Amino acid sequence: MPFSLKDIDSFINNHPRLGYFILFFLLFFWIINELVKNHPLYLQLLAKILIPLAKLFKFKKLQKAAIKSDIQGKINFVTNLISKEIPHEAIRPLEIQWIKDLANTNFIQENKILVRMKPVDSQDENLLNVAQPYLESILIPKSRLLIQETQKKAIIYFTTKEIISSNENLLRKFHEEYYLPDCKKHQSIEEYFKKIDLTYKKGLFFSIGITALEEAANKHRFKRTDLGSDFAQILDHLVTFINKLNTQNNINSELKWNFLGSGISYGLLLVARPNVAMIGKISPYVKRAEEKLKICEMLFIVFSHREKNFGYQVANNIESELDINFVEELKTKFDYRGENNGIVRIYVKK
Amino acid sequence: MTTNKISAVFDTELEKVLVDLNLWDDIQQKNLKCYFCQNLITLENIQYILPIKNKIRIGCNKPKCVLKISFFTKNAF
Repeated sequence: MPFSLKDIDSFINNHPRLGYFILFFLLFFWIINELVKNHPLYLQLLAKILIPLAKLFKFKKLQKAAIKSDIQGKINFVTNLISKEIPHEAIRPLEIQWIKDLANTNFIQENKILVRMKPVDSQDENLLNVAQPYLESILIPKSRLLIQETQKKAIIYFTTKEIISSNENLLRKFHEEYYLPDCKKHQSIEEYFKKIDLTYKKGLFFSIGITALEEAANKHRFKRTDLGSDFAQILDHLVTFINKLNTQNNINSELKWNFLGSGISYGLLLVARPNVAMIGKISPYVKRAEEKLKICEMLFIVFSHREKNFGYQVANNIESELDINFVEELKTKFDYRGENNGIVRIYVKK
Repeated sequence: MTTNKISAVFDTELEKVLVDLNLWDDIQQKNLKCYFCQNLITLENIQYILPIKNKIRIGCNKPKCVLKISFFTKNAF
C-alpha cells in the first residue's frame, strides 16, 4: 500500500532529524535532476547505475529508463562535440519517446519511424539500431541524397565508431558485423573512412569537408546534382593538404590552398606559427585572402587555439579590408597539427 | 530545449502496437517480409516500423537493413 501524506508527517514527527534529512536529499536530487536531466554526462552516469539494476531486477520501467538514458547520453555526447564543428545550427539533442500503443494516432500521416528496443541485455544492439539512421539524418541533412552510398556509409561508420569508442566489445562487434562485411563488398568505404579519420584528427573534416559539401548541396538543391565526385575531391584535397603540411618546412610553397570543384570552391588560409619576422605583419595574410577570393566562393581561416590572438588579428583585418561576409566560427576538437582545440572561421564572398 | 524525437517501442509492448497497426495476424501467418531484404519477418527479427508511400513497412534487424533505413529517415526524427 503506498504511503500517504499522513504517514510521511507522522514519520517526520517521530524521527525529525532523519525525516528532514531524507526530505532535503529528495528535494536536492529532484532539483539536480531537473537542471541536468538532458546533459549527456549526467545521462551516461545515470545509465551506469540503472543498467546493472535493470539487468538484475528486470522491471519494465527500470529497463526503459536505463535504455533511454544510455542511448541519449552516448549519442548526444558525441553529437554535441560535432555540432561545434558544423555551421548554421547546432544539432538538436536526441530524445527517445516511448510509444505504448498507436490506437489513437495516425501513424502513417505522422511519417515517423518506430524503432523496436529490446530488453537491456541487448542494449548494444539497441544503440546501433538508433545511432546509424539518426546520424545520417542530422549530419548531412542536405547532401545525403546527393552523395554516393559508400561515402554516406563511411561518414556514418566513422561517427558511430566515435560514439561507441569506449566499449571495446561493441566496437569489435560493430567492426566485424557491420563495417568489415560492407568494406569487403565496397572497398571504397574503407578508403573514404581512412580519409575521414585523417582529416577529422586535424580538425578539418566536419568544419571544412562537411561544411563545403552541405553548402554545395544547398546551392544545387533544386537540381539534385550528383555531388559524389565533389565530396571525393574535397576529401582528397584536404588529405593532400594535410600530408604536404606535415612534410613541408616552408608551408607556404607547393601547397594546394584552393579547391575549385564543380559544385563548390573554397580557399584555405592557415594562420600558423608566426615566426619572429612575421609577428605583427598581417598584410601578407590579407593579400593572400584577397587572391583566394578572386577565384573561390568561400574562405576558411584556420588556426590553433594556442595562437588565437594572432589568428583573430588576421581575421579582423581581413573582415575590415575585404568585401566578404563572416558566416560562423567553429571550434574543433583537434587543430590542424592534431593537437587539442582548433578554430575555423568561415567567410563567403559578398 | 527542442530535441530530435525518435519513437521507440519496448519489446513487451510491441505486440500491442502490432495489433493497433493490424499487423499482428500477418506476422502470425508469416505473411510479412522485410521491405529491404525480403526476408520473412518474425516477432524475433522485426526492428523498424516505417510508413512509406502511405503504407506501413517493416524492416528487419540485419545490419545491411539497418543502414538502408537511413534513406527513409527524412523528417523521421
